[in-house]
This record gives sequence, C-alpha cells and structure tokens, in this order.
Amino acid sequence: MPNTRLTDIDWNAAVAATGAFGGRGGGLSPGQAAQVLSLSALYTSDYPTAAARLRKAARLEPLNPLHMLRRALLLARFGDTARAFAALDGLKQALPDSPLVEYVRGLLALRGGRPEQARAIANTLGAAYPDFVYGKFLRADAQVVLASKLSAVEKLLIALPHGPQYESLWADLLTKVTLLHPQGGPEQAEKHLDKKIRAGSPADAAVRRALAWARASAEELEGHLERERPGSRAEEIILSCLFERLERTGDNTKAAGFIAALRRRHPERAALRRIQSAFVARVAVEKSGAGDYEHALRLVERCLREQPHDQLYHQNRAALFTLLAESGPYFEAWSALNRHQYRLMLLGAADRFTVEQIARGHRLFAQQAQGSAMAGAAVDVQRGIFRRVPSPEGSDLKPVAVDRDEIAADPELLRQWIHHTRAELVFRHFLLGEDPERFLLRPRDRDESGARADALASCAESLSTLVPEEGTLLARLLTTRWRYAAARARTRYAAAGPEEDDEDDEVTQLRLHHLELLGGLALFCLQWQPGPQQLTTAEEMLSFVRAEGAFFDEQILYRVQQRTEVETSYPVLVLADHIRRVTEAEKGAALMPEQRDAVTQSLMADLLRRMASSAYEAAGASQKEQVNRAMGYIDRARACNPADASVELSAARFLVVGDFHDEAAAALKRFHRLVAPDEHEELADAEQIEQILKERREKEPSGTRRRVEAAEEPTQGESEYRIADLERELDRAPGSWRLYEEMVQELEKAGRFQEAVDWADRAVAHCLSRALQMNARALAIEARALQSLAAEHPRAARLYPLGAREPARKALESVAASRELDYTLLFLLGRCELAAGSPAQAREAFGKAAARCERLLHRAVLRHLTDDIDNAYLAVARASVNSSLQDGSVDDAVRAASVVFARLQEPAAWLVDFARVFYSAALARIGASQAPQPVPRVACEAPWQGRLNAALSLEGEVERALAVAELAGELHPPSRQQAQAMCERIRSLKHQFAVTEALNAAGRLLTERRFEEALAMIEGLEPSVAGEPRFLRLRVLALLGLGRFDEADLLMAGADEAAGLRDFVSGYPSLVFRQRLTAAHRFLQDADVDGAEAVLQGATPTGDKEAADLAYCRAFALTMRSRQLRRQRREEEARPLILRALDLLEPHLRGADAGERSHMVELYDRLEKESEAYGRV
Amino acid sequence: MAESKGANPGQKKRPRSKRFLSMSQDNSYAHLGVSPLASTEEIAALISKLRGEAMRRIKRGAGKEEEVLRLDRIHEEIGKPAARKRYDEKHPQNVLLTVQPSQAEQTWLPYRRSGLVSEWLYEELGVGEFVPTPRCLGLWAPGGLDEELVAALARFGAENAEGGGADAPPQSLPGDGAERVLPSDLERLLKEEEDV
Repeated sequence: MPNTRLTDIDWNAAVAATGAFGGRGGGLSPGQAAQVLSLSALYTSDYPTAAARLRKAARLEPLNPLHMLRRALLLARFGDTARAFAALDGLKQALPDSPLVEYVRGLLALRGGRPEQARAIANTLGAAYPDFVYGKFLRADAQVVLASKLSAVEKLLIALPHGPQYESLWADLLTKVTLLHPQGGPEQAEKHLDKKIRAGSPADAAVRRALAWARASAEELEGHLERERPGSRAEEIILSCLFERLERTGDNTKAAGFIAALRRRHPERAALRRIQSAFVARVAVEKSGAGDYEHALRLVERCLREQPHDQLYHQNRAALFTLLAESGPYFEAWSALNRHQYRLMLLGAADRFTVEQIARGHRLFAQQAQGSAMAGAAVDVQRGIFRRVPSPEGSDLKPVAVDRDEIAADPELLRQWIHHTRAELVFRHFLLGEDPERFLLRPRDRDESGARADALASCAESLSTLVPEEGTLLARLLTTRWRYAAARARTRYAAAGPEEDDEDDEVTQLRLHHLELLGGLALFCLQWQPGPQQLTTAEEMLSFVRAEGAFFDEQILYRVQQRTEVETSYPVLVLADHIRRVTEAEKGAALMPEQRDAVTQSLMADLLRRMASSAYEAAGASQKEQVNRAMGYIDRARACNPADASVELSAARFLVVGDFHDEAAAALKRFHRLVAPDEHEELADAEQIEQILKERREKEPSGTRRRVEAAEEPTQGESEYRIADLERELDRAPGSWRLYEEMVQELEKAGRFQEAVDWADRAVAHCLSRALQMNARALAIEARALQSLAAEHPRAARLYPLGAREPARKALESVAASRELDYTLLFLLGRCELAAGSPAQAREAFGKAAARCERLLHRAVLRHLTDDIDNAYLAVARASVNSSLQDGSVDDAVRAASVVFARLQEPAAWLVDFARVFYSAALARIGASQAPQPVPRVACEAPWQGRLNAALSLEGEVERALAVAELAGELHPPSRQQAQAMCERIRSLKHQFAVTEALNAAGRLLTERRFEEALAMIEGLEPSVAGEPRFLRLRVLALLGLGRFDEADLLMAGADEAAGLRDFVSGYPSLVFRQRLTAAHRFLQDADVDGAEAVLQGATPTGDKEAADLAYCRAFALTMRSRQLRRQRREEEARPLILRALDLLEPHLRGADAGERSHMVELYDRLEKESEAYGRV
Repeated sequence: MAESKGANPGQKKRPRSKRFLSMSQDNSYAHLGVSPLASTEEIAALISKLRGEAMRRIKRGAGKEEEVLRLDRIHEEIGKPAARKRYDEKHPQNVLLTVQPSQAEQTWLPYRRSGLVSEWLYEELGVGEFVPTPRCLGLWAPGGLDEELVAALARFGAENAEGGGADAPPQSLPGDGAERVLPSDLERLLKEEEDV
C-alpha cells in the first residue's frame, strides 16, 4: 500500500514540474508526469483544477484506464455519483474483466442510495471472482444498510476473512453495524471486535468510540460532542446518533427544545441548527396535519430563516399559503419557490431530487390549468382549459374540447398551462442527462437534433417568464448545453424500435408525453378562437406548437394506436386524424421530414387564420387598418400552409371588405385551385364573396392596393421599461418600500394613475413595519389625490411626481375655488405647502383632511401629520438639503438649512441635521481648493440662538459641525443618540484629516530621500496619529533608506497583516533583500568589500532570480578581494577566493538568460581565466 | 418559417390565474384515509388490514366485493414503492401540497450514515488504510505506487518546498541611482582604490 507521505507533497509544485500547465519541466518522464497529474487530483480541494489535471493526464496516457477510474472516483468524491457511475459504465466496456471497476460501481451505488443494486453487484462479483475479498465486504456493507434484522448481517460477517490486512474493513463494517442498528448492533459488533481486530490498534479504538456513542443517552451524547471539533465528521456522526435518540422519544416539540438548549450551550456548533430545524419542521408537519396552518406557517418561516437554502421549506411555505387560501402571498410563495430552485440549479445543485421537485411543481400548475377532463375523469371535477363533451351515442369515445368560456373568464389560466407545461418539459429533458440520444429522444439525424435542441431552447424561454432573472440565466445555460450536445448527435439509420423503448422507460414516457401534448395543442389550433385581447397568448401558443412539432414522431403514435391495454386519448385521435388528412399517408407508414413539418405548420395556419378574425375585431381604427392587421396574420398563415383553401377564403373575405379588389380576386382564384370539390359550404361562401366583389368593383372599379406595413412593435418609453423592471424587482422583494415608492412615481409620470393607486395599495399590504406602513398609506392617499387631480389638471398631476409642486398647488387652489376639496386633495395641498416651506399652512390642510376623511387607515396618517407637522417638514427640508448636497452645491445647502429653524415649532430638532450639513460640506471639500464660506446668521426665537451663532463662527466646517452636533445632543433629547453618533463621526473625520496630512508630509520626505527627517517627523507625531498602521510602513522604509536593516527587520517582526499593510508585509522579504543588494552594490562601487559583505550577510533571497543576483554580488565581492590580495602578492590566499566565486556562480549559469544575466557569464569567464592562470583546468 | 413575431414584452410575466391550486380529494391517499407522508410499508399494511376486514364482512354476507376491488386498485397505485413513485409523479399535488419534513433528514438516511462512517474512519485510521470511500488511496492506486514515482515526488515534500516568492509588488523606496557593479568595472574600481 502506498505510504502516507503523499499528503505532505506540494502537489502544485509537482504539477508545475510536469510542465503541463506552463511549468518549467522538472525532469519527469511523460508517464510519471501523467501519474503526478492524475494522482494530484486526489489531493486537490478544487474540483475544476482536479478535473483539468485528470483530463491532461488522460491526454498524456490515453490508453491508461487508471485515469478514467480516477475521474470516476473524483466525481464521486465531489458528490456527483450519477456521472461517476456513467464514467464507470464506459470503463466497464473497456475493462470487462476487472473486478475493481465492478467493485467501485457497487460502492457508488451504495453511496448513491441504491443498496439493492450494490448488493446485486457484490453478488455478481462474488460469483465471478470468489477470491476478490473487497466484494465480500461490499456485500456485507450493503446488507448492513438494507437489513431490518441483524441475523441477515451476521451470516455474512461470519463468512468474511480476517487478519491485520482486513482490520480497516472490519472496523468499517462493525462501526456501521453499531451505529445503523442501535438496537442490538453494539452487542453484535462487540462479539466480533475482539476476534477480528487487534486490541489497542487504531481500528479497535475507533470501533470502541462508536460503541460508546451508540450506547450513550441524549444527555451523555453532549459530553461526547464536546470532545469533537465543530464541523468534524465525528461531530456529524454524534449528531446523527442524537437525532436518532430524540426521534425515538416520539415527541418532536420536546426534541426541538432539547436541541435549542444545546445550541445555547454550544453556539459554535453550527450543525445543531440543521437538526433543530428538522424537528421544528416535524412539528410543522404535525400542526398542518391537525389543520392548524397558521401555526405551521410560523414554524416553517422559522425553519426558513435558519436554513434558507432548504427548498422543502420554501415548498412548505407555498403549500401552507395555498391551504390558507391567501391569494397574494400564495402567488408570491410559489414564485419564490421557483426562484429559489432556479438559483440552486444555477449554483450547480442540479441533483436529481432538486430537478424532480422543480418539474413536479410545474406539472402541478400545468395540471391545474388543464383541468380534469384530460385526466379521463367521467365528469369535470375541476374545470380548466379543456372540458369534457358528451360522447356521440353508441360511441366509446370520450371527447374533450377547448373550454372557451373558462379561458375567456380567466385568460391567465391558458398562459399558466403553456408556461408551466413548457417549464416541466425543460426539466424532464434535463433529467435525461447529457447524452443527445436520450435527452433529445433518439433523434434520427443532426438536423432533427438541432431542431429539437432549438425547441427545448424555445421551451426554456418560459423559465424567464416564470422567474424573470434567474429563469433567463438558467435558460441560457441549458440552451448552451443542449446545443453543444446536439452537435455531437449521431445519425441513426433506423427509427428507434420498441425494444429500445423497453430498455429506457424514462425516454419512452417523455416521448408519450410529447405526443399527448401535441394532441392537446392540435385541439387548440383546430378549435380555439382567441379573443381580441388574447392575441399575445395565441402567439405564445404558436411558439409552443412550433417547439412541440420538433418532437413529433409518428412511430410513437402508431405504437400508441396499437396498444390494447390502454385507451388512446381523444386529443391523440384528433391529431392522428389531422396527420392523415395533411399527409395522406397510410397508417404505419414512415413520414418524410417535410411531412412531419407540414403537420405542425398546418396546425399553426389554422390558428393564425382564427387570429386574423380576432385581430380584425380588435382593431379600433379604420376599416382598412383593421383589414391590414388581419391580413398580417393571414399572410403568416399562407406562409405556414400555402395549400390551405380556408386561408385563401378568409383572405378573400378580408380583402373584399378592405376594397383590395385585385388581391381579393387573386385569393379567390387560389381558393378555387386548392379547394376540394366536396367542400360545399366553403364553395358557397366563396360564391357569395365573388358576388360582393363584383358589386364593389362596379361602384369603384380600381379599388386600392394593400399597404405592406412594417411589423408593429409596441413603443415603450424609458419609463415603461423602468416600470417593467420595477415589477420584476418587486416580484423578488415584495416588502421593499423604496421600490413601491419608485413604482408609484413612475406610473404617475406615465399618467397611469389607477395602476399607481393599485400599487400603492399593494405597498400598504406588504410594508408592515410601523414607519413603512405610514409611508405606504401616505403614498396611497397621494396616488388617489393625483388620480383625482388628473381628471381636471392632467399636466399638474404629471408634473407633481417629477418634483414640481407649484403647478399642483395652483391647480388645487383653482379646484378649491369651485368646490370643496376632498381629503386626498387636501393632503396633496398640505404636501405642496410643506415643499414651499410653509409648515403652518400644511398643518392646516392636513387637519382639514383628517376631519373629512372617513377611511380609518388614511385618517391615522393625516392625524399623525397634523399632530407632528415638524417631523413632516423636517423630512421635506432634509430632502431639499440633500438634493443640494448631491448636486455639489454645498453653499446652497448651508443657506437652505439655515432658514429651516425659523419654520419649526421646535427648532432644536433641526440642529443635528444642521451639523450633518457641515459634516457633508467638510467631506465634499476634501481635496478642493475652495475655502468654506461664512455662514449667514441664523434667526430663530430660541434661547440658545447665541450659542448656535458662536458655533457657526468657528473656523472650518469640521469644527462647526462638531460644535453644532454637541449643541444638538445637549438641547434636543430625542436627537441625543443621533447627535452622539454624529460627534463620533466628526471626531473620526478630524483624526483622519490629521493622519492624512502627516502621511502626505512623511511620504513627501521619503520621495525626496530625506530619510532622517521623515523618521524624526514620524517619531514626533501624537501617539493617536502615530498608531496608524500606515506609519509603520513609512518608518520601515525610512530605516531601509538609511541602511538600518536590522532595525527595520525588528519592526516588521512585530507587524501583523493589518488592513492596508497586507501587501507590504508579504512583499517585505523581497523589498529588504533588494535594499540590501542595492546597498551592497553601493559599497562595491566604493570598493568597500567589507561593507558589502556585512550587508549581504543578512540578505535572504525570495526566489531564483534573487538567489542569482545574490550569488553574483557575493562573487563580485570575492573577486575584488582576490584582486586586492593579488596586488599585495598574497597569491595563495587569493586563489581559493576565485574558486569560491566560481562555485557561487556556477549553479546559476544554466538558467541564466543570455541577455538578462550576461554580466554573470562574463564574470564567470574572467574568473575561469584567472583560475586557469593559477593552473586550474 | 413564417413565425417570428415575439410576444409583447408586457406579457412576459408570470401567469397569475384567478384560480387557486387546490387539493383534489379524488386521490388514492384520500380514499384510503392516509397521509401522503406515510411510508409505503405503512400503507401496504393498512390496505392489507382493511382488505382482511372487508373479506371477513363479505364472508359474513355483510360486505360488498367492490370494497375489496377498490382496495386492490389503491394497492396497485400506492401499495408498492415503484408504483407509488409513478403515482406521485403523475399526481404531484400529494407531495407538493402536504407540508414535508426537512430535507436535512435525508442526511440521516442509513446509506448516507454508512458513507459518513467510512469517511470518518478514513481520517481516523490514516490514509494508508483501505476503507470503502472514493477518497481511498487504495482505489486511486490499486497496484500501489511506482517507486521511481515516489522518489520523484519526494523532492516536492513540504520540507523541500521552495519559498515561492511573493508576487505582490512591495511598496518600496525611490531608487537612489546606485547601479549594479559590472565585471567591466573591476579594473576601474581597483585602480580608484589604489589611487586613494
């Protein structure tokens, strides 16, 4: 067995040495390099890196199956057992005789929750390879998971081999027996323990620990828990024992309480949260079962706060709102569930459970919209878009039809069916994996693969309809994946036969589902007459039909028709009939791609023809315009099915009405060419139209020609797009007051006052904190006021949300002259007065409004405003001052703020805001050369006026801000806390100013290399300023500049990686090395070899290049010293120095770049010559 | 293809039907009077019990055969795991409109706990031991490691690891104009020294 030192390997360095990822190459053979790459994947915690290394290894050694095995193990290690299993299936074909591959398959089946499969694989292994011991242990392992009785396990345990080499496997089995079967398991494990595992061995110790956990009570488990590290696997096992222990008591409430107490004692153990939520969820299940939905909902909300990622909590919440029949929250909860699920998928949590849950949710909504008629119910238990119609007498048929009334009454029901059905399809295809053969349902060739991938992409558009942003992202991701996979599809030369379907039930079921869907869509195309308001929904229907057309497969239809055990559904019969009419093919005959296409195109043409009639009815313009619009649909129908006589007849009808005589005549001509002779009704219609055409031609012989219009696109202003955005945002954050406020304003700007009122009311329903509730109610009153004002003064009403209050005030005055203002208009007037800086008049208006208001919700707001007009005015004044500050008009802001005092009943309430103005002004002037302006004298009737003016006369805005804030804290108790916070901020700002100034000064001195002065300046700073970590950097730099390296090192030894210093600390070793090297070169320039050597003594290179530079500098010093000695005729002493210098340089020559290290080579050559001169070769 | 007109952007929002989702009582769970959260074993046992009672009633002449047939039909739909899975897929309301226990409970399913035990033991016993986990070195290198490879890897052991060198540019001092001494400077420097 390989030794354990592999964990100590620096795998990144080893991989770099393979040269595979741009490394240098480290003398490893290609085989070794592949092994290093592939083995390193085991020691890498980052999946993409590990996978990339395995891919690279497989490229280096394509015939080595070990890399494939490791890839499967890697996938399993990261939890993707499904893909791991698929990878092993591939490997099994390559290595059919390897028991190891089968063993790993079995192991992964067990880990993936399929113990029966694991047991079956282990049994096969046992039969085929009786000596393969691991297979026997796997068999027992699976049995431990499956067994309800321990006797079945015991039989297998007795037959297993034992010995030191199997101790770890025995420990594994016995621990599982102990923990998975707490009733009797520990005794059974103990019976084997002494015989199969050596006493005192690590395996023995591990099993004994598990035995202790299995026998401990819930209270005792707490003691065991304390001995384990939070987040460790041991902790997780103990918690699973605790869960089992508490579950056994049968009292979930008590269990949740026990865990809550445990959490309070062990707040560091995050895993306890999960176990507590599990018990709370169980209580919620109990409450819900007892019909106490509100209590259950509270508990589920609690779980959701604790474990927001658990999709079942989101689902429970949606279920409870459904059971509570709360319409708004119901809709939003299901929407939130989908959003959460899509997010999980975007984050990579696309496991089978999650995806199946998503598909189920969409199916539920689709089924609800569809109603019970399609499910074969005898009566319509639940009405939907389809309805049952009476069977013809003597027939077994169970006909269904499109329920036009139901769709007309609730048009969104049809959209619900379309989008949830399409979304369900998307996820069901996703569940079929990445093999195009499966997820594209056995396409015949690449064209069909491409068309089906496009169809899936079209269906995926519904995801963005259902969940705007996440749905769009997910759709994009899936579409890319499908298109990529579709390009790899192979051409099959025979249609998929029934035997293939038998093999893959999942694929077959989906093919049948597509057939049923196309049947349902055929009913729509052939029967539905969309209302004039439903044309957009009809477009969505067309898109669905087109997508479904790509999956149309006549072979599955024939197979369905041949079945005797299940009745063929009515929509499928309708579809079959339509196919026969369109293709004229015999039953059972294979269709050409063109014929298949014609089936869906003709269905679409039928629907487009009906849409044309609706478009004609819908248009509120001139008759010609109406005809033009209807003909737009007719032209599309013609393009879909040029051989449809009914389309031509409809065209002729519209064209005659529009006086497009020539075109009408041409349409009639085409009709006669296409119509079947037995279509008497249509022929009679045509005759009638011809007659009308003749009469009209007599009146107006020339007629007119149709104007070919560009496609009419809805024009949307910027505001419309913003409204759409806001709607999406509010969908995501339905409690956001800011969004409601903006939405209402945008709607008002667009003149959509009724919608503004609706949204304001929604704000009242969703913004539930006291402050936000008052804001929302005020918004609702204002929206109503503007709606009312707009009736007489639309311009003033639309200018108001833009911030122009004066036109509204004037308009209100003119309205007031003719009639009494209602409470909403009085409220609006009050608002205008506040904006004009007249709080007294505003108070009067609000008071009158309160007296006239009969709505309790609104009256509370009006009374609040009347009672506390100062507060309302303060908000307006704050907004006005903020607006000036945001515009950069600091002096305007100061002036505007100065006049507020005089308008307030309690002027001291404004002091803290006044301080804030100076604080903001000080911030705004940082880096600006402009000096602060003197403040105008503040006039207010308060005893502290003099103190305020004294504060304002101080020099500098920071000082003024501080003095005013201190005054606010002293004079206005409600503002005290805010004032204190403001004082702290101002003092902090002062401190920052001082620090910045000192840093700039010291930095300047360093730049000018005036190190002594910089050091003196830093040391002379106030302790509060000098304590700033950035001064440490400057001090160190000054010391380095002075060559006082040891002192600099000492300072840095105590430096932590405080914010702002992290880069400096990490870069310091390299910096100090370069400084030492520079100093050494300077000494050498002065021929001071001693000095250079002393400096270099402490130099530590941090990389190859620095090591080379150091070697060069030392060698140069040695060379100089040897020359000095030679000059003194001390040849014997000089020679060893030359040899030492050569030794220093030699290791660095190989890697020396010709250009970069030429000096090194040159020095080496010189030294070598000198050495030769001494007789060295 | 004639179809190209996109839908109105205003329409591209989640459909909001006037109708509520509702739990239809026409389902096997409701007919049997059992929660959709009950285990399949519990359901099968209940069906068996009710069927026995119905049979006894029939023998006494007090029951109807339809009752037994009804129970048989329910058993076919939800009395076996595979059939029940199909039924639940077809009728998602039973799963989705019932308050479910936490997903976290999946963590404590026997097969998951079994996997957890192996992972824990692998840490406890040391990575050289064979434990059935996808992390086991014994599975990654079933024939052991080539000695030459181990030797090659030894130089990447932690004790031999290179310093690495920080890439981050240090916040440094301005240059003082000092230049690196070059071999060509040697003679000049020595001469200057001699002159001094």
